[in-house]
Amino acid sequence: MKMAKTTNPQINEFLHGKFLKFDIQAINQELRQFWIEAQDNNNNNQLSTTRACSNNLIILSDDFKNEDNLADLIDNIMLYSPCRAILAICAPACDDSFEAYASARCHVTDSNHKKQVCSEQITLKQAYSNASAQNFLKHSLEMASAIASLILQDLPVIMWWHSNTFSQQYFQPFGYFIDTLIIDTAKIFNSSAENLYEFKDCLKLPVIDLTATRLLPWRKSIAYSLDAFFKSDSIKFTSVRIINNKPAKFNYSYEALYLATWFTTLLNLKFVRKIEATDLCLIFDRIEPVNQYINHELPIYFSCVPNPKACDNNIVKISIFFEHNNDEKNIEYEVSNNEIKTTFANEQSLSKICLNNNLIIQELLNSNHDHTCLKTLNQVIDLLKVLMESHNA
Amino acid sequence: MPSLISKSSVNPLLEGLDLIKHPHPFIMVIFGAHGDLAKRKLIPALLALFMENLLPQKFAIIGSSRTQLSSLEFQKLMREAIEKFATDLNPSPAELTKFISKLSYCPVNIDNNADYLNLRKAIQDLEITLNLKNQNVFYLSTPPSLYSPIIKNLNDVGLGGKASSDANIWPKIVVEKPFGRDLQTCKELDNQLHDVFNENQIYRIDHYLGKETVQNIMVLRFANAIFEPLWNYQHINNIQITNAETLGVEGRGVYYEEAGAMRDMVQNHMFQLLGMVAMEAPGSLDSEAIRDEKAKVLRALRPLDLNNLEQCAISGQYGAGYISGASVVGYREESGVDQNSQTETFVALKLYIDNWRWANVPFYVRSGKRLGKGITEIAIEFNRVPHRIFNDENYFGFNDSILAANTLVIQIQPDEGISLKLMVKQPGTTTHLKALNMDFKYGQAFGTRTPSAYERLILDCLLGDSTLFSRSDFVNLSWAFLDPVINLWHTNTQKNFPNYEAGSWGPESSNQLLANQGHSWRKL
Repeated sequence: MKMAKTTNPQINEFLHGKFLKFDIQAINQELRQFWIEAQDNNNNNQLSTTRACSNNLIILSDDFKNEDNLADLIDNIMLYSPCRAILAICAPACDDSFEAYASARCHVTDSNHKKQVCSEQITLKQAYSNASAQNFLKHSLEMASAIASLILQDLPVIMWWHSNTFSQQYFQPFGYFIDTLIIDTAKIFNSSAENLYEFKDCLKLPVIDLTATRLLPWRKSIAYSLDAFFKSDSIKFTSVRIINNKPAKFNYSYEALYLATWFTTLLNLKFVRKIEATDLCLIFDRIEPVNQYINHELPIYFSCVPNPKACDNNIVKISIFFEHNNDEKNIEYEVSNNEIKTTFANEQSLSKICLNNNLIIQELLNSNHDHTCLKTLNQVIDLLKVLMESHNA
Repeated sequence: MPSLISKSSVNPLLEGLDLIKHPHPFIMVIFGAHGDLAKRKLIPALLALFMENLLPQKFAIIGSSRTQLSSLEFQKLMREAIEKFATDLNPSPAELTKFISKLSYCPVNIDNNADYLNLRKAIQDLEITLNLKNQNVFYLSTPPSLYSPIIKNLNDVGLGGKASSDANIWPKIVVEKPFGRDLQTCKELDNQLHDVFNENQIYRIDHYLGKETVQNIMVLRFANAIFEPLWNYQHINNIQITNAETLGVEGRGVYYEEAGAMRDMVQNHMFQLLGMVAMEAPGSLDSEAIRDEKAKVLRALRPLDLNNLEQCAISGQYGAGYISGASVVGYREESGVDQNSQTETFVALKLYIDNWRWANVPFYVRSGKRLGKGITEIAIEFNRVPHRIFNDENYFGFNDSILAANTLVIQIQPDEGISLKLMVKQPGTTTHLKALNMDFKYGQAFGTRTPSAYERLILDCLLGDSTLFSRSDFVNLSWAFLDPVINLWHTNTQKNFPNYEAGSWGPESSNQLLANQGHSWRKL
């Protein structure tokens, strides 16, 4: 982070992120004082500091080791979406403790280092020694009340659930004051599929699922490449094959399942049964007796082939088979050098993928949240339950 | 075989995706590619679009000018231009190389028909490579005097041509302002363009309309319920549109001698701003609906009283003075300028829009070179409170206690943003009032890079969206309104020029223009 020097040592300390230990009231006081002194600087024609904030961003983590990485990420977020960032970390430790720090995140906006835009970061660290259910709820209430008192009023409150696990009990107190929840359901699934069932109760809130964001390049490639067929004439899907890049615990990856569910949900299809041979095959059928997109049933095959070239995204290849004007056709989508290569009738086009590092920023800047995410999530969680039950059986 | 149950036209898989439109594959020919505009603005804008993945996979750019260059030499020149003028883009070496590989060059002497045949051949070769047919954009980044021969020659070699239907909008032609130098030449240019292209194939660029804040005027007015009820003669006292430049003519003396401030700025940029701020709400965001409303504003302008022109239109020319602490020469001492020049470098107008909404609300428009600061803004000054309960006399005549009018300022440059002036109570045991500004700055609220006006406009042109381009009737109406004033000014050779010092805020008579109405220019 680029920062300009001020002549005031206290402000300098503050600007450079030296954490000072305060209670909540002290933090608010410190923040007020900072802006008063920054204003004085402006008036004295020294370094000009402007406060910028467009929302409250709460990042909730369950590992103290994440603090530095998340602080760097906040720095990056501030460049694109100035906000009051509240980094809340709640994790087990030897003793119970509660610490709070405040700092300014600034970036220089002119080449002469005379102007800078600053936003605030508040860090709350809660350590607990007793993880009993009763204590857990108490910790949650403590953290939620601390955060609630630090939120800037009248600005949207966005919470990024950064933990690998999801607990409905811990989440509940936050649900009263947050406007949008950002979560990565693939991360939750990979930790424990059951956690995801608990999460389904939270779907009354606007939810941004980073899994859906991560799959955007696939979704766009598929949607755009099929657009002409949808527009020009009838299209009948006959089968879909999805290949994952790494052997998972199961014979499908969460991303592959999510993408298949997105596809079938938007085509108004429902899951009917699974066929398990070498590969997993899920059969989808019409919700209504009439559906213009399939004739009878749509099988979707999932298989795993290791592919070290395939980015972080664990889908390697998708083939969609369909009939168009009574001709059998297929389109293939494949990862190649950070791009999705779409092949149809020997013609190729490319679209960029791998937005992973900027997923959060991308979502914070995007004011039109994808409402299909909620529909898909509901379906994918229901489907997972069926698959898990059959797996356990 | 599956039977056809129903014919679908909507792609359900697009639901929830941000529907960023992508242009069709194209070949763009830039006439005047060796010039400043291409190097500073057009090529960097195309590179930015390329980096944002907003250009199609298949595209090519052919640079063209009378200079004899090979494609490799042109690519080298454009690479240097990008390094010099596109410093905010930071393309990776691979990205830059890929973009540069899309550029080629074809020298064209504007009047030489054979050169256009070579150009046609170059386009045809690219069409074969890219598997395209007649998806060409001709960008005229040349002096306006060259528009006519270019249009004619394009048509002669079969590169022009009216589109066969509304759905087919190729080929396209982009022309830079000025669109003519008066109503007659504007109509002549229109006729030449319309002989070869339909109106929906013609894109008249006024780069002001590509600016983020200018587009935000519509959002501010029509997406916020609080402003529109106040946006009329009952609540607005006056509106001031200012374009102040500290720059002089910057080596363009020959051009400016022919143009002057009225043609260079007022007829296009300032009238576009006037249209945006004064228009009625369009029925939709459809480009024709918006442009219809803007044209209606110009139709409702009260003609200026030519018999008392000094009561409604002031011209000025700068003399020597000081800008930012440095001395600068007067206009007549600039290179390429006649030492007895009568060309105006400053214009102030008092305009009225004779319709229900704007009855008797003065719109003050000023544009000038070598003024005290470089600022472009629209200031909407609201009426003062009808009854003052905070009496100044009770507060010993403190200036702060004078009730300032609420003013909404839309700042267009240099710092794009919006501010609203409000009266507040100063902290203390007595009731002292102070006027404060609530500020919103684009650069601070949104950390993202703001696309340049040319990026937005070029992309819109490629997508076939003409909302932010000037339509023929708007340009004609603006000339029809201003022509009589320009003619009168140019027949009067006894103007007292120069009549303002560089670094000042224009001639004293421009202050008088407002003082007659009890108003004054905003102090900027």
